[in-house]
Amino acid sequence: MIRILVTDDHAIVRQGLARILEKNQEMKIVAECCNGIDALNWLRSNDCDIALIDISMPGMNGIDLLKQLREEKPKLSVLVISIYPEDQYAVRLIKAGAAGYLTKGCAPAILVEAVSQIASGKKYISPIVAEMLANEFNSQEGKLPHENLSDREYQIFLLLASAKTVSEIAEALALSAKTISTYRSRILEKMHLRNNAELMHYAIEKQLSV
Amino acid sequence: MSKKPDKPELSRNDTEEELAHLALQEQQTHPAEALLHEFQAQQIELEMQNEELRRTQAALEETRDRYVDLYEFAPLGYLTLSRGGTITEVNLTGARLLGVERKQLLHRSFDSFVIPEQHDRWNRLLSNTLQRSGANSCMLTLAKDDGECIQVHLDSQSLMTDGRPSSVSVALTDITLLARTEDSLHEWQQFVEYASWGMAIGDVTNQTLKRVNPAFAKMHGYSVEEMIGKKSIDLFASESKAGYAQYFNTLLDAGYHAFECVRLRNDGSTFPAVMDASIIKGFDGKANYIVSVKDFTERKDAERRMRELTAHIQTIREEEKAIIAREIHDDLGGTLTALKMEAYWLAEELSASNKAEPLLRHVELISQLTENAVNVTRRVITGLRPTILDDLGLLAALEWQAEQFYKHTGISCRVNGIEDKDKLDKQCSIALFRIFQETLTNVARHSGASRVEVEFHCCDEEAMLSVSDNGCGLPDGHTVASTSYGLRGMNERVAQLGGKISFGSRPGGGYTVTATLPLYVDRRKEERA
Repeated sequence: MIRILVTDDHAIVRQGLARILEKNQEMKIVAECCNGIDALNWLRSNDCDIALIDISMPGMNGIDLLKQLREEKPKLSVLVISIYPEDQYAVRLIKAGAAGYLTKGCAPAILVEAVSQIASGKKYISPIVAEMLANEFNSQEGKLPHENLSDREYQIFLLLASAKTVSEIAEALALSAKTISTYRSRILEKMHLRNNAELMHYAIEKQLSV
Repeated sequence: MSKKPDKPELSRNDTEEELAHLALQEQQTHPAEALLHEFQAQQIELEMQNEELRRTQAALEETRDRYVDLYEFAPLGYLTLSRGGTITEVNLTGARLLGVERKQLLHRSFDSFVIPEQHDRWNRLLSNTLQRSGANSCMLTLAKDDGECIQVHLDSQSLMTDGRPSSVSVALTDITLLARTEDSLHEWQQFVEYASWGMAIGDVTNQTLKRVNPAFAKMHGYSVEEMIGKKSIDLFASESKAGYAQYFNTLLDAGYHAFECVRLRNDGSTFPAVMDASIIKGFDGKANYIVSVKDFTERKDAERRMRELTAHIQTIREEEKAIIAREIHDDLGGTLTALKMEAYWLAEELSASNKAEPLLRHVELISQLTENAVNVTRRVITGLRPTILDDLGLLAALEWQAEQFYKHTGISCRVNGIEDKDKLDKQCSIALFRIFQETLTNVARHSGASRVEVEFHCCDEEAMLSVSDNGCGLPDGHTVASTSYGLRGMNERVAQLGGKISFGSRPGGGYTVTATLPLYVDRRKEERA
């Protein structure tokens, strides 16, 4: 038996989802909530296998609910179902921990398939989402860390590598020191480096200089 | 005019030699001959005297002619009037002044030239002149026969015969031009006195004020007298003082400079003003500067109100769009979703029965139509307000927009950024997002670029969005047209949030738009803490 929580602000949609899912003997709607707060409250004292959540809801929306659930109930699988096409949300929400992303009005069979797949502990990745993930992967594949920097980031990387201080760089580029610091941490993050020393070492190793 | 003597002049030396020679001859010749000689000597003597007289006459004639010339052609009109005021003599200048030929002037009453309003004045002067010796004078307006009026200064003096005044000598000075100049000078003076613009004249060497009009004094909170000798720089408010040297140097270099600045009043308050300054040279060759100042407070207020109104309209517009998007999503979106689910359910139920086969096709059509409607709804909602912006933050929205842009135009668009989603409020997010959309539209339309790089970061005090393309940029010497509504819209959005935006070609091609918004949220928090 797969116990399902449905969270959507439209009663008629909740009913529709329930009717599709409950046609399947394995699946049972254990609760219906109309927003994030309700769902969170219910989940704090109850349990289920899958939470089906909408994105746009009054009060706490689906995204905030997802984040909260990742913290409070990391084992609970969350399937996001939204009116918006995959390109806006799917990859980001899956990265944020959702087990799957469906658009509302997908064929009932797909919904049932997704729920059973997620219930078995897997993620449900639709072909469209799979392509997006692949594209994202491709763009970083086979590139050296510094090749993923933007023009401006690379410029600042080279200045940092030449042992310039943040304030010197700020002055040279007519940006605030704070901005340069932000760039610096972004560069280190993108290149998986920990500090300026490692950055300089990397530059020397790859013979990169201004 | 002087006349030369007919005969060549005999010099005195020559004549005496001749006389001596004759005396010598006299002793040697007969008495008759001596007599003849005597006569001859006398003749020579007479001729000499005659010559002398002729010379004196010529000199006299010359002097007389000179005086006639002086009289006739003097710059003043000279008239002699009888006791009754009839013209008995007039010089050429006088005739020209009165516009009548000299012959016709004689025996005419001077009275006839004086305008009726001033007859009394003239009659008084005439009788005064006749009663008392000494000079009298007055100003008169004379009307010529052709109707033209002239202003004259008239000096009169009585001429005495046998100890009593017999006639009056009059000198007329044409002061028409002077009067006109004075008149226009007076008009200008009035203009400067009553002008609403502040006007002042200052000395270039020590940069102090020499003259100011009442408006200038009033707008600065001083009396006109208090302003004289004031240092020019002391009337600039502190925020404009730094620019003073530059203003002044530009003025000296170009001879003219118009600029906006903030002025300081006597009571320490300030006002925005537009200044218009020029350098002028005085008679003595010394340089002065003249400035006119217009208090711009009202204009600035109007501009501010206009900006506020624009900002307000823009905010309202975004809010309304968001509300419409939300309503479409909530009502239409939910309904369509439910409709679709119903259609699916119906299709499933119908497919169980063979009899219902023809109906199934119709249900599937309903399902498809509903799907179309859902797609349209999504498009409309996203167009009105990308929900991703509110749900996932600006960076996600930028990345999504960049992907869409690539899909539609084939121009690759890479977004680099880190964001703390909660730092940016909705107003800033939507402003930067709209700027991004507008910029991408421009890139697609004009740049011919193949790649767009987007930098976005958001730290404690500012959010910065920079969009660069590798396209053609702007041709040399071209600047961004300030009339472009798209760019003006971007400027407005940024200005309303207290930020800055710059547009510019980069060396090596390409074009960059950079918008920076200050983040006040943290500052307010700090203040509260």
